[in-house]
Amino acid sequence: MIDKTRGRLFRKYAVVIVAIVSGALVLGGAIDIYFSYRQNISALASIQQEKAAAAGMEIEAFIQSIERQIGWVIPPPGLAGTVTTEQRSADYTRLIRQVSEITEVRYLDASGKECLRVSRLARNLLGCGANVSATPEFTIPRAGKIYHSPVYFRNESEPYMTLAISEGANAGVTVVEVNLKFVLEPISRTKIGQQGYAYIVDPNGNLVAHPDISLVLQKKDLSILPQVRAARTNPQTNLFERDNNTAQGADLQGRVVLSTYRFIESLRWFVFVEQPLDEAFAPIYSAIAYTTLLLLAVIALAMLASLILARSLVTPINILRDSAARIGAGALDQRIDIHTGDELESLADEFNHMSARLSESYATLEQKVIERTQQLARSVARLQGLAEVSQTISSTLDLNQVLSNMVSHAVQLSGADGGAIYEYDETREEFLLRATYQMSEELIAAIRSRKIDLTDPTAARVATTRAPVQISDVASESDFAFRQVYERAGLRALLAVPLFHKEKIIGMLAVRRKTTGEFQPETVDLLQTFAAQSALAIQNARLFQEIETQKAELASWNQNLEERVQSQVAELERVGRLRLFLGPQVAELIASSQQDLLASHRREIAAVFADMRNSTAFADSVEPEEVIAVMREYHAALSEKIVLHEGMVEHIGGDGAMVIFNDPVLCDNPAARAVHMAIEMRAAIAALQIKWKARGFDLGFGIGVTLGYATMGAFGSENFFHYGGVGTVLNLAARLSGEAKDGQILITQRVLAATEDQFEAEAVGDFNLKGISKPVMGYNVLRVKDHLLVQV
Amino acid sequence: MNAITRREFLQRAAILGLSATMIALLDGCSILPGSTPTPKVFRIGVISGATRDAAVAQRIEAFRQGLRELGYVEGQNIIIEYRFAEGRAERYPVFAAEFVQLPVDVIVAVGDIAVIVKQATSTIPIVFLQTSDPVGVGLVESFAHPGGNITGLTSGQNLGITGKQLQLLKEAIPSITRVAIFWESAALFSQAQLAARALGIPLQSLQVTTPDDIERLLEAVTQEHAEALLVQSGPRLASRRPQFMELLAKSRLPAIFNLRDYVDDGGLMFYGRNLLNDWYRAATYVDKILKGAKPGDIPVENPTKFDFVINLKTAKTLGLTIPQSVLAQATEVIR
Repeated sequence: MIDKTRGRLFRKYAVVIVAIVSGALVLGGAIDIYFSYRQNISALASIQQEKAAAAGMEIEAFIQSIERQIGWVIPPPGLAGTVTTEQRSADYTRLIRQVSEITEVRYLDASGKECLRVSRLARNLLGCGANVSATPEFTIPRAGKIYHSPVYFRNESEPYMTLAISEGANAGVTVVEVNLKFVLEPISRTKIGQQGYAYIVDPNGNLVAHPDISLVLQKKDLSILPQVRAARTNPQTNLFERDNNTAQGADLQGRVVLSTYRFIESLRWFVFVEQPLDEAFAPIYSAIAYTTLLLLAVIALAMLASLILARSLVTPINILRDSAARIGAGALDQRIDIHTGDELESLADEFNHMSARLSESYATLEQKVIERTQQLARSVARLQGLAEVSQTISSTLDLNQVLSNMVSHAVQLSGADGGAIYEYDETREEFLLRATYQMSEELIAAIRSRKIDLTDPTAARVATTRAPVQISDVASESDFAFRQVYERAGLRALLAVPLFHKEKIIGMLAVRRKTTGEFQPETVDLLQTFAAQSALAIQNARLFQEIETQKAELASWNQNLEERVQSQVAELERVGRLRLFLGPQVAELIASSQQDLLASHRREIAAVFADMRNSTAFADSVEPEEVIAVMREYHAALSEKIVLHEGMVEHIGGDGAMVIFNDPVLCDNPAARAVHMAIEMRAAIAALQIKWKARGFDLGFGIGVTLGYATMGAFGSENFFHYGGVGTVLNLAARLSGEAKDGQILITQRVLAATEDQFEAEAVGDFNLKGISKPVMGYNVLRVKDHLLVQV
Repeated sequence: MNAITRREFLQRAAILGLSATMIALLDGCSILPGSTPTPKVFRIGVISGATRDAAVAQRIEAFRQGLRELGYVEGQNIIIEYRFAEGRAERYPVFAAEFVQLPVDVIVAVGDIAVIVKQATSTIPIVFLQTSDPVGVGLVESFAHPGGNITGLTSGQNLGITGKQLQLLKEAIPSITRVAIFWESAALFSQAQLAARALGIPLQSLQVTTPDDIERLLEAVTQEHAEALLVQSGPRLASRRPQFMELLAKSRLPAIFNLRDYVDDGGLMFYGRNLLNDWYRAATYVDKILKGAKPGDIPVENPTKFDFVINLKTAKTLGLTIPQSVLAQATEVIR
């Protein structure tokens, strides 16, 4: 993944810088060239025009100077006719000598005859000859102008011009042949640049003068050249419109030239100043070339610079990246070396700091890991030790074995030189040595001989603080009991850890060390763990002991219990039998061993006698089975109410039942209870009576309730006795019941008085009862008073 | 730091390449405007019919001067070989053949030697000097377009100055009734004949065929009672100039020459071309040819300036008085 991005930053920078710089340069260069081009062209045109003008003027001057020279040999108008031929000949000779351009001078007299010829080449002629009055060399000067002939070629190769100047209106004409080779001079001198030149063409386009005279001698016709053609077609003579006569043309070799011309009016010649376009533009081309080269050079430089720059930018970044990669891979000792003096350098420094800190923390981490590992190893060892110990504890109940194992492990794992476990005996209030490890006999003996109780300072501290106690140097503990023994054994430091169970101290674990100094917290923790284990072990042992003891106790208790249970069961059986004969209350009463009750005793009781009417008649008329069934129903309903109101059945027989309240079980307001029960009995029997009636049995029911004293108790013998009562109250109840009609509950005045507030009763009258001396007022209980209606 | 990766290597190569190209371009740029081609050493062969005397040496010096001014340095880019026939016409073909063998890059031939040289080679460019009628003798087709491999400068004789010379002679010594002409070139002779007829002066013809003939010819002059000489000097006569002048001095005859050397040696008058100019100008021709121009395209030049030199010392010796009108025409006078 690193390689994919490698070089991208570099390329990016390089490309950007190169593009920017190159772009700027190219733009600048192009603009420069364009303007330079424009300037060059106009400069060239100007120069050419100047030169053309200058050349034109020079040529005109040249011709004019010849004309002036000729003027020397022309006599003043006044003396025109007086000049002799000899004179003239001498003049002409001098002229020829003086002016090398003049090859021949002729004189035409006033009539146009050729009368004198002085020649450089040919023979001189004196005397008049041919008549050339018709020729323009005669006619035009006579008209007053200087005649310039068109250019002609002698020997087909030398350009000549004939100049003719008149001496006066009607005088002769001096005709001069001018060798135009001498026009070469000013033309040759006209130079533009290296290859620029000037030349002259006549109106026909023939070359009149040229720096290369051979071309002139060849009589080159330049009218084929475009610029010459153009000039001849439309000669621009306006001096102020100079730009119009500069154009691109061609030379004889076909090269493109920049050409300017000047039209010499007097001679009707065209002076052309030309320069090959290549040369004209050479500065431009070379400027372009130089600019391009410069551009390339600068682009190359820019590329170089950009490469260097980009490299200088990117190299530190790459260094950073690589170093970061290496650091990331784990080589934390890498340091990045950048000295660019900018942000990158500070970044590199930060990296180095980070790397240093990383390696520090790594080293620290390593160290910590090593430490931790060691700790772990120790812890593991300890745990193993503890596990072994635990195993030991759980595998055996032999306390001594367990404690020995424990103390040996404790000493080994804590790196101590010896140790012991004590058990605290509560009864004797002293620590007893139970197990030792690596202790000298002397020390053991010394300890055993001495009673370590709570007066011993170390033990006291341990017991009271319930925390480990250390003595870093026994030498400095003056009140240490075994100091001398320790010193003799070479032991200097002591760590004692309490063993306690449920806030009670049950022992002590002590380890000793030959070197002074505090015990390490983890050692203390370890010993505390051992202590806990030891306590556990001791406790276990004690518990076991207890269990054993308790088991024995339990066994004896068990035995005891069995015997007692047996007797109880017998008792219960007896009571159960009793119950059969006695009411449940009585049975219970007896069962609860209140044997006194069986003796007769006088008590105020309420007696309720319930009795059926017409029962005898019923029994006679109905089948015995049906009688029994009815009786059963009757007794069931009565029993239910009796039990419900907790009355005691004195006796049940046939069709009647006598129920007693307040004996043997005391109750409050027995009369009310009795009446309540009677009411409910009545209701229950009434319901039965409806059923009986449906079956055709007509039975009535009445109740009598009395209140009074009676003598109660068990009557009979050991094997068979009856609990009941003797008294008037009982008789009265029975008699009253006999007097009751069906559905009546008759009560005595005494009962009424006791229950008046609870029941509504009506007086029934007096009754004279058998066995009772006085008449008894009887009342019929109607119902419970409304405000006392109680749900049953 | 790291080993050079391929990418880095390519980058460096690119940088180097660019720099090299840059330098090369700059280098090349410096020679863009005007590239000097490697100089070749040209061989120029000069054949003269005369002897290498002082006058000839002067002309040759003018030629060399001309070449120097055109940028040629002897020994560096040109080597000039000289052959002097000393009047012996039979040597011409030998020299021509030699130059063709060497070979030389251009042959400069004086006078009619050009004809021989033209026969010897049609490829090596030839520049002629002091030739009177190149068209007539078949050297060139026309002045404007010589054609072939030959061009040069004329002596101007063809322009008819022979007549002028005769006229000047007659003007200087009006009493002359009979003129003898020493000639080597037929063209000039015919010109002289025409001029003599026009002037009405009988002309004695003396053709110089060999240099040894001079004494005999001069004798013939005195025998025929010529009163003046028109000397059309050629290589044969020129090779015996001292001897000729000696004899002439003895004969006490006035003469007009076409070669200035004679006047310097005691001749009376000279009208004609300044040969130093011609030789100087010849260098231009050689230069053009060496630069690659075809001789056939370089037009033949006529001279424009003519000198008229009068040796007054000789006039005095001969007891002649030169008229003013003639003196007025002189370009130079030797007193």
